Amino acid sequence: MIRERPLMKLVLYVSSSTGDIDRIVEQVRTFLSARGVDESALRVVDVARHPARAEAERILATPTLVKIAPAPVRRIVGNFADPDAVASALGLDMAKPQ
Amino acid sequence: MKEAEEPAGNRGMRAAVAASPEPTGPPVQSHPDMLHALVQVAADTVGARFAALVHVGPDGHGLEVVESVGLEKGALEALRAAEAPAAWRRLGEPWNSGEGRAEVPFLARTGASSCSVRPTAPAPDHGPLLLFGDAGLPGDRETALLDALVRTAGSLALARDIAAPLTRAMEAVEGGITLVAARAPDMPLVYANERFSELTGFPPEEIVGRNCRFLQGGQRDQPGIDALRAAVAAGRECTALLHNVRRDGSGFWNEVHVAPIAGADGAPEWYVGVQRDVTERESLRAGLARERAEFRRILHESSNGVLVLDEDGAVLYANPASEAMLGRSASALESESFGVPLDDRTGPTEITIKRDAHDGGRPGIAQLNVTRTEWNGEPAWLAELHDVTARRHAEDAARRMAWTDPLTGLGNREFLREELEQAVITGAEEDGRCVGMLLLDMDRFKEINESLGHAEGDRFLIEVARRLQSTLRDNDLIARFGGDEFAVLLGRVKEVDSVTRVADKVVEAFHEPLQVGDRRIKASCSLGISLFPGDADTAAGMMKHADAAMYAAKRAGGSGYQMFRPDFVERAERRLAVDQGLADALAERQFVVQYQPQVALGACPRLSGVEALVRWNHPERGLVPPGEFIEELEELDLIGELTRYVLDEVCRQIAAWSGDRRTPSSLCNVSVNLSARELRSEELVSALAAIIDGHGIDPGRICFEVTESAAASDFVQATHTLGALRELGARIALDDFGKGYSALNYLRVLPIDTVKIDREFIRDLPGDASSTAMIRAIVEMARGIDKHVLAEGVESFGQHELLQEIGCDFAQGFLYGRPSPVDGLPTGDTLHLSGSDGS
Repeated sequence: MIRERPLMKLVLYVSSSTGDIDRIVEQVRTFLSARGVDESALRVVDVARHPARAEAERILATPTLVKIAPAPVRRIVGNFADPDAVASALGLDMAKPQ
Repeated sequence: MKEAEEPAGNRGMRAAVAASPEPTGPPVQSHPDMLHALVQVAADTVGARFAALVHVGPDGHGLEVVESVGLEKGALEALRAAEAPAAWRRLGEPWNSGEGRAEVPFLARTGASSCSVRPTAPAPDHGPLLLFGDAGLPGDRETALLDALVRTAGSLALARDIAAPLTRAMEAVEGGITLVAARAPDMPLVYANERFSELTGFPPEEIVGRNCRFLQGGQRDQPGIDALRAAVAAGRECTALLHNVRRDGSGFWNEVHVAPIAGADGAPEWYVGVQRDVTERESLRAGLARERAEFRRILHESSNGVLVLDEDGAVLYANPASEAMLGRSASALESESFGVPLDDRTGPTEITIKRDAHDGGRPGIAQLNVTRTEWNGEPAWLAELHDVTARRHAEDAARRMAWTDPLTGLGNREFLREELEQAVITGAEEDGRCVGMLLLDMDRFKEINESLGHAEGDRFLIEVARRLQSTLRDNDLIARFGGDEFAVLLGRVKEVDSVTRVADKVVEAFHEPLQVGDRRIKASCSLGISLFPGDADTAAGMMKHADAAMYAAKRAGGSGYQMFRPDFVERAERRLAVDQGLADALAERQFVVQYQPQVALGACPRLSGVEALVRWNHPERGLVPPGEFIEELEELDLIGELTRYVLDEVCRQIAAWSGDRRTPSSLCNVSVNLSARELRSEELVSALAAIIDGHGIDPGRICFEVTESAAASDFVQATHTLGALRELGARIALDDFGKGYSALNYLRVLPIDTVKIDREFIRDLPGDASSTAMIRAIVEMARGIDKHVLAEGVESFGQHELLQEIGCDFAQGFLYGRPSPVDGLPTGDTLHLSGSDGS
């Protein structure tokens, strides 16, 4: 019997005013799809367009990826190119899905 | 101030001294050394041979030796075995050296000759008492001290415990010990041990009786002194750090622990002090503090942001630079979550930061460097932020440079495209607005450029830019796309008419010649106009459509504008396809040469030669006539290559024909077309000569045809080039005569052999009288200047007969044969006339 994966919720904060956001979003999507996580688990917030939201969430720098679920909340900032580093920093188990 | 007389017993004091129990709160811990010290001080005070603190039970029974100094083991045991003499129990007087003596049997074991007892108040008949051997008679001061000591020792002994402050004092037993009289004027020092003298360099005799401030060496303003004064005033115990001065003037750090010893009334009567030289520790501490300050200063002044983050990415420390970079104060940052930093080991990771107000709070860019570290013993992240915003802005500026046309200072194609995109987006949001794009190409620029030379050609373009700038409004964007192509962007236009008005203005602006150096150059331009949203809804579409419209304006003769029409698209696309295919076609030798017979008219017409005509054997479209690609090849600057290719083919064919006896020799007279551009090429003559020579062909077999308009466009150059070709031995024919400028003078001056009359004059023959008259005149005139005449486009026998009758030398046309590959050519000199009759 297949154990149901825990619901995952992530928010990616990027800034279109300075950064190459497409590349970053793509990196995170690739990371998620490699782990069998559906794209709908990820929300992308452009802080250049929604500065108030970034302020409310106290985002200090972008890109920042916040894992809201499963608990505990973890946030990572900087370079998301290395999937293992991202997984470990987010506190997700390292085992990739079959 | 009354100086105390110095008791003999004050000399040679040995013991450490402690102070009174804490006035409030219970004693906390027994400390045998403390009692030992008290007993020692008591012994020293009265110069006794021995001293013992003895506890006497009720009724004089249960004598217990609590502490002693100067008693041998045997004497101590003897004392312990003794009953407390009854006299001790009656001791009401503070001091009685006589009464107890006889009743102390252990005295013999002590080496002392007398024994005196001092009871502790308030229970003279039992409780603790001090026992001295051979004690001197104490003076007033000693008596008071003894009272205090006995009281203290008594209460300590009663409690069998010792208070914490005393413990601390005793722990510092290696320190210097001082005793100060609290109630005497100016609180004089009454006792100092040897260690104190070693520490400070002051012998006791120099300092006893003086206030301890002699140690301060004038350094009154110290926080430690204030703390000490406050404690003394309050009767409290206190530890203070003082910077003191030794006898030799050297400074040292003195950690003083001071505790009060209460008098009978409970108020402090004495202060006992323990002094410790902590100079080494303090200098170490100062060094550490300096180092820390130094590090702090570096972090403080660093322009790099430094963050220490815990394992979850929460900020533990933030330096001022990071405050500026993240737009928050350090105190606001500490407790915020920055996030676990991930950098790229292979190169810099850039993150977007919010910079503080001095930059208008605009986002900046920082390079992130991450190191694993420890913070207060816990694993942590060290994140360094290096602000590269300024560098990025500089790069942006460089990128902006990439949007400028360096020759004219106008924007370039990229610039206009960006602006157009913005305008289209803005225009799309504002109803009723349209955006106009004008694409402008100078007419005959190639000729101008080649006749002026490139340097002057550039100056010409600069003048064009100036003319455009002076004609247009400031907010109309002008760009140079490269070459002689310019573009104008008219944003937020209310109506189409205003766009065409601008186009009219631009066309008119060039009616006035341009001043280039000392030359005045007549110029004109062709404009193509496309509109948003009417013609296209994207920037790319507008540019494409303006281009198509511009070509239409060119085709219409130049010096004017053309609004975009949908049918231009197809034509433009075809042209684009041609452009793309032509270069490949040349490389892949897709061009084929066909030959059309030329005929010598006479009583019996016969073949006189052929004209080589090039066709593009397009892989999909089949044979494409030259009208569809010659002009494009000229623009692509590939026409010379095609001519060399054709001449090479022709020479090869002539060589082949020459070796074939069945071929009529007149076939070997081949005409080859040269374009106007080629006439201006310096290398043309030598290149063509090399090809002819390479095939070993008689140059007289080749006739180069140039159009009348090509020769007229640069008459001097044409005369020169054609003359050179003629000197090679080649013949020259003037093509399309009568179609263009038709200056009769050209015929006289140009080095030509044959005049080819344009097909338009032949078309209406033989019925049209005026055409007949013109042809007659041309033939007549040509003969007068010793040129041959060839009639083009002869399609009917009637035309043929008339031309024969007029006396035209040669003819060419479908009547004699269409252009065809080699195998379709006549095999004999005599022709079968195949054309239609024309009637």
